[in-house]
Amino acid sequence: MSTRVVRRIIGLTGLLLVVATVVMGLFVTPPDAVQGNLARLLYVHPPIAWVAYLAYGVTSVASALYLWRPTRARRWDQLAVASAEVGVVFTGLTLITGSIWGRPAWGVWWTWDARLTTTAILFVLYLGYLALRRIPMSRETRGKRSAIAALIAFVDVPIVHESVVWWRTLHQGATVATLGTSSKIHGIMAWTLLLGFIAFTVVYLWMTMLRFQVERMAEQLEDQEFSNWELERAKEGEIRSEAIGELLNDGTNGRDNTLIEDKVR
Amino acid sequence: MNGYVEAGYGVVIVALGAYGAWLAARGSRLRRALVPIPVDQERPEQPKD
Repeated sequence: MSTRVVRRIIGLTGLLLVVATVVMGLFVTPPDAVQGNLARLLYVHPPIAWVAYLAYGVTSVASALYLWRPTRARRWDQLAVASAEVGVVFTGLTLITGSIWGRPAWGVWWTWDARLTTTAILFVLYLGYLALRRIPMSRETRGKRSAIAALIAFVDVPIVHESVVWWRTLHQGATVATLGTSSKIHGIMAWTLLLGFIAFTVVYLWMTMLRFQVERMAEQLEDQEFSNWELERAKEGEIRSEAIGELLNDGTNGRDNTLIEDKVR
Repeated sequence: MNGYVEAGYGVVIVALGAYGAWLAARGSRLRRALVPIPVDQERPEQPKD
C-alpha cells in the first residue's frame, strides 16, 4: 500500500472521528451540572491542547535526531518543521477555544493567568521557530539552528503543563490526567472526551504526514530548479569559451579586447 | 445552547478544515510541478523523408 493511500485512510478516519466527537459533544452528552452547556467546549479544548504538546514533543525528538551526527538525515529536519507547524495551528486553537470558554465562565476573554500566559509564550516561541526557518541560509545551517531553537522552546511545554500546580491559577487543575484514578468526570462525558483525544490525534497524524510530504517536495523542487540553473550556467559558459576560442584563433591573438568583448556578448 | 459553544466548535472545524485544504492544495501544486517531462516529448518533430 502506498504512503498516499495510507495518508488518505488516516485522513478519512480522522474526519469521521471528528464528526463523531462533534455529534457526541453537541447532541448526545448531557449538560454539566455546574457549567451547563458550556462544558461541551471541554470535549475539544483539552484534546487540542494535548495535540499541541504531542506535536512539539515530536518536533523535539526529530530535532535531537537531526542534531546527533550518527542519525542526521534530512527527513528529521523535515519532520520537525512539519510537526511544529501543525503544533502552532493547534496551540492557536487552544488559545482561541480557551478564550471562548473563559468569556462566559470567568467574565473575561483573556487574563494573565499562569496557564494562559505560558501557553501564549509557547505559541510565540514556535512562531519564532517557523520564522527562523524562513531566514535565507544553507539547508544544513538552517536545520542545526532551528533544531537548537526547537529544543530550547520545548522547555516551556512542561512549564505550561505544571503551571496549574506551581502557581495559584484561575485555570482549573489537572482533571484529565487523573482519569481512572480519582476522576472528576465519568460516563458518556468521559468517553466523549476520550473520543476527542483520539480524533484530534488522528487529525494531527494526517496533517503532519501531509505537511512532511509538502516539505520534501518543496526541497526536491528547489534542488531541481538549482540543477536547471546550474545547467544553464554551464551551457552559457561553454558558449562563452567557444567564442573566446574562436577569437584567439582568428589572428588577433587577443590584442583587441573590445572586439573580444563584443563577440562574447 | 449559548452561542459560545457553537462558536468554539465552529472555529475548530473551520480552522482545521482550512489548514488541511491549504496543505492538500499546496501538495498537489508541488506534485504537478515535479512531474518530469519525458525526453521524447521535448524533441521537435523530425521531417519525414
